[in-house]
Amino acid sequence: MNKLQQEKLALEAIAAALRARKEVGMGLADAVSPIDAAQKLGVEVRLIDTPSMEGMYVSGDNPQIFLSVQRPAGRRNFTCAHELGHHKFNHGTQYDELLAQKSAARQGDPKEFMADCFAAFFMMPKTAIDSGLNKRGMSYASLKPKDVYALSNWLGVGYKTLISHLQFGTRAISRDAAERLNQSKPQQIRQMLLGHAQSSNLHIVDSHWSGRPVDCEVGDLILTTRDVFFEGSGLALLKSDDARRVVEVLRPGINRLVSASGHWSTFVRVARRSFTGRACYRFEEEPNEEAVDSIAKF
Amino acid sequence: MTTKSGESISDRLREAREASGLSQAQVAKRLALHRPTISEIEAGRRKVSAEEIEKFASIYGVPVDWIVRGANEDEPGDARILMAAREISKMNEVDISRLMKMLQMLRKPGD
Repeated sequence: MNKLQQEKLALEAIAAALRARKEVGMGLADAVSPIDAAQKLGVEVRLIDTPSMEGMYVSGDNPQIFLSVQRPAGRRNFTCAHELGHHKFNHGTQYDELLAQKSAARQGDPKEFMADCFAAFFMMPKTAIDSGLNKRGMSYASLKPKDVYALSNWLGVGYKTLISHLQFGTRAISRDAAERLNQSKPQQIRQMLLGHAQSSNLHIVDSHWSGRPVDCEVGDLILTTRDVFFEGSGLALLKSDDARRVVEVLRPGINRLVSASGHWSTFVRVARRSFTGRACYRFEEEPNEEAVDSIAKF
Repeated sequence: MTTKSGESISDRLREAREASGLSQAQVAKRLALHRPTISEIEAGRRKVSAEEIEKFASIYGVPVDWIVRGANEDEPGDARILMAAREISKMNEVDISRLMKMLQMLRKPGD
């Protein structure tokens, strides 16, 4: 592929990504869950235990996306959007080996290039990034690692993926800025924010998440503001100070974060750690036996 | 017809449930049954009606045909792509086998 061909394919992929967002009813400034989007578009998503691959798209009357549960949540989301790209471009069945092991031939494959562009702009359109920054009082010129971390949380992608997209996709930051941001690792940012090491995910949730569910796994933490309360038995308050609350994610199911003023709220959807199965069941609560018995008797 | 999946309907019902990510209690709740009933069905100690099989297939997202008959000996076309992947990629054998088994389970007759 020469540069001209690449630009033509990129434009085609970006247009398709924006059309797909419209198809699932997402505004350009919204953050989107690609797993929910795939299901809305009639593609079944399954999480499977295949550590040596990123994902797979199976075409046909019953299209399916398989995602490796061993990959971090942000990477899984991006891979889901990538496989959705293969679906939208009618690329037929495609498998995606681990990113680091992709052969040179596959890296230069126009289908892979298009699916990557589709995924990047499906999850991170420039309007969503600009809006996410503005609403939080952030700017490209003074982006700090914790800003990028919070924004990547909201967009549902990995920290490095967002930096790379800002540098090469939307060209909003310079190479120097990208290098500086890449010097911080997500684990270090989590430690800086919490004051202790945290290996599982930390979700920074503010009022701009209104309408955008927080998708977590058991063991994750949520960092939010002091005026936020939660509803649901799957969450517990870990600590609280004058400005912030840290909430621990305890068990699968659907919960809610609500601001004391009632101005905003959002659902917290919890999956068990390393859930494998149909993605539509990932937030399913385990019923207690007595409840099941009473339903059966009824 | 031979199959690498469970040999009986009850085996395949368990396999499909596990692949769907649901516990016996979660399935029981959806079907308004007692959890031990699901356990009995999967152990082959309770017969299942055609109507029940259809409900299980819908919940597990697998074709009725796979539950009733098991996997066809012919490899689906998608599995052939994985066999090619075995030659050229660094995906490990266990993962490829797991995916091929999944494709056989989800394949609708005529695919």
